[in-house]
This record gives sequence, structure tokens and C-alpha cells, in this order.
Amino acid sequence: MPNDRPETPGVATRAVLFTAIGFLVFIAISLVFLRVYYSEEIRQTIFVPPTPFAKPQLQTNDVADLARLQAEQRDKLSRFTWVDRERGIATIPIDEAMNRIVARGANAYAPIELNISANRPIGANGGKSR
Amino acid sequence: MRRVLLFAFALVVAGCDNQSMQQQNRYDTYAPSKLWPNGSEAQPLPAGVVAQGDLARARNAKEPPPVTNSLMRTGREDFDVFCSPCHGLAGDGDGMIVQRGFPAPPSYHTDRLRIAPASHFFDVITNGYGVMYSYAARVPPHDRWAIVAYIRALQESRYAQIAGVPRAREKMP
Ligand code: HEC
Repeated sequence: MPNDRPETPGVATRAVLFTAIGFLVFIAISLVFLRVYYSEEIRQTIFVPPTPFAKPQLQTNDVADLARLQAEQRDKLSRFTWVDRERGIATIPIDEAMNRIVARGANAYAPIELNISANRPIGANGGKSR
Repeated sequence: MRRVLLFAFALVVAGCDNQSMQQQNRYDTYAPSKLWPNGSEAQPLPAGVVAQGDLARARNAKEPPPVTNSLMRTGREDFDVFCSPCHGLAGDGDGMIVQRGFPAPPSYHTDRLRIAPASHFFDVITNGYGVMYSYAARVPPHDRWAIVAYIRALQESRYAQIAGVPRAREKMP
């Protein structure tokens, strides 16, 4: 059995190995160098906090204004009050009204047939909206 | 030694490329292009093309969903979010945007809008109306119907016929 050992590969293994190892060593040295360089060079983090600028002064307290307005409007939606006691027309709370519309079933989207203006037919304000 | 120098040189050269990702092999918006017959990077949509879901949206727009409690709640939520800044939570057209100078919308409690068909409200949300802009991009058709149903509830709430309703009078002041 003269020739049963594997052939030696035709590649210069050593050169490849050295190149690879050299590359890794180079990276390692670069990393260490950069680490040292940065820690020497950068003494403090450069972070400029955002400077908020003043809002336009149109309302003195806009949050409170909105809360007050919405509270007024919600209040309107939560009351029972008479509009026309003789004809049995009233303002009712919105939850009640939502239930009543749901209860109309297939008719729910239809206009509400109710003549609110006592002396004139609906729509007789000449198309004016108010 | 020569090999080591060559190797070091190659490494140094590799560092010269600008790898900042600023310069990429792509077209800028509306850049000229020889690739297409019209010479532009931006291509118009082919005729007859529709967006995904367009057909379903068109179908939903045509068929109002049945008004249930949950649809009503959706409507209330959406109205408060999208419409109340101008129209007010109660639909009087007195929202905060209006208090601050935007043209006032009409109240929903006028005769004209009380007798307006539901499709009118739907169309106003879809297409806008006068100075009010369209909400089509923000409110999908199903939710538009929910808002319409809630507007009816607002109208009912303001002027309700409670003569024939048992127990209603007990609650009145
Ligand atoms: C930016 C403020 C604003 C918002 C938000 C807004 N509207 Fe309006 N809306 C208006 C104004 C202003 C008008 C009056 C337009 C005109 O007459 O030029 C109006 C008019 C209307 C009308 C009456 C149309 C008619 O026949 O007179 C309806 C109905 C309506 N809006 C529904 C809605 C609904 C529903 C929403 C929520 C999806 C909404 N609006 C959101 C400002 C707004």
C-alpha cells in the first residue's frame, strides 16, 4: 500500500490561514484602538435636549376651556327638559335617544317625523339653516 | 514583507468607499428614466385599475348596516372624535374649532336637516360640503353609516315625542 494517504491539497494552507488570522487580528486591534480613541476624545455625550417653544397665547388655559365647553355640551345631552308640554315634545338624554333610534329597526335611518315648529310646516324656513 | 505591505494597502483602500448609503442605485421620485416609453420614473395607473378593497367599500357605501346598539356606540365614538370639534358634542355647530374662528356649521336640529334623508349625511361625510372637507379618507363607509345613525339619535334627543311613552313623564322635571 504505497499510495493510500490522502493527497496533500494544492492550496497554500498556511497563506490562507495567516491571511484569515491576520484579518481577525487587524479587526481586533482596530476595535481596541477605536475604543481607546473614542473614550479619550469624547469626554461627554453631545446631547442637546429639544427646546420647547411657547404656544401661541390665544387662550389662557386651553385645556380647561375645552373641558368646560365639552362638559356644557355633555350636560345638554344628559337632561330631560320640556320643549312643548302640551304636545308632549321634550329633550331627552342621548342614551335614551340612541335606544329609541335602535328600536325603530329597519326605519332607523329615516328622518324623524315630528313637527317641532308649532305654526309652520317642517322646512318652511325658506331653506335657511337657523 | 512585500506581501504584508500589499495586504495593508488593500485594507486601507477598502476604507475609502463612501458607505453612508446616501448614494444608492435607484431612481429619485419623478426622476427621468429611459426604461419606460414616457421617459419618467413615475408611471400612471393603467386604465381600469382599482385599489384593493374598493369594491367592498363601494358595496358597504350602498347598503346601510342594520342599526344595532353596537353600531350606535361606534357612531357616537366616531362622531365625538371626528365631528364634534366643529359640530359640538350635541350637534349644535358650536365646537371648539368654531369658537376659535372656523365658519360655524349649521345645527343638526334645524327643520331642514331633521328632514334630510340619511344619504345626505352620508354624502356630506364622503364628499365634504362647502367649507367642510371630505372625511372619506378617515372614516370608512360602515362607520359613516354609524355616524349617520348617531346623528339621528342626536336629533331624537333634542326633540322627542314622549306623549305616548309610558314612564317618560315620570322622569320629567
Ligand atoms: C373642520 C370642522 C368640521 C368638521 C370636523 C366636520 N364638519 Fe361638518 N360642517 C362643517 C361646516 C363649516 C359646515 C357648513 C359648510 C357650509 O355650509 O359651507 C358643515 C356642514 C355639515 C353638514 C350640513 C350639510 C348641509 O346640508 O347643510 C353635515 C350633515 C355635516 N357637516 C356633517 C359632518 C359630520 C358627520 C362630520 C364628522 C364626520 C363633520 N361634519 C365634521 C365643519 C365641519
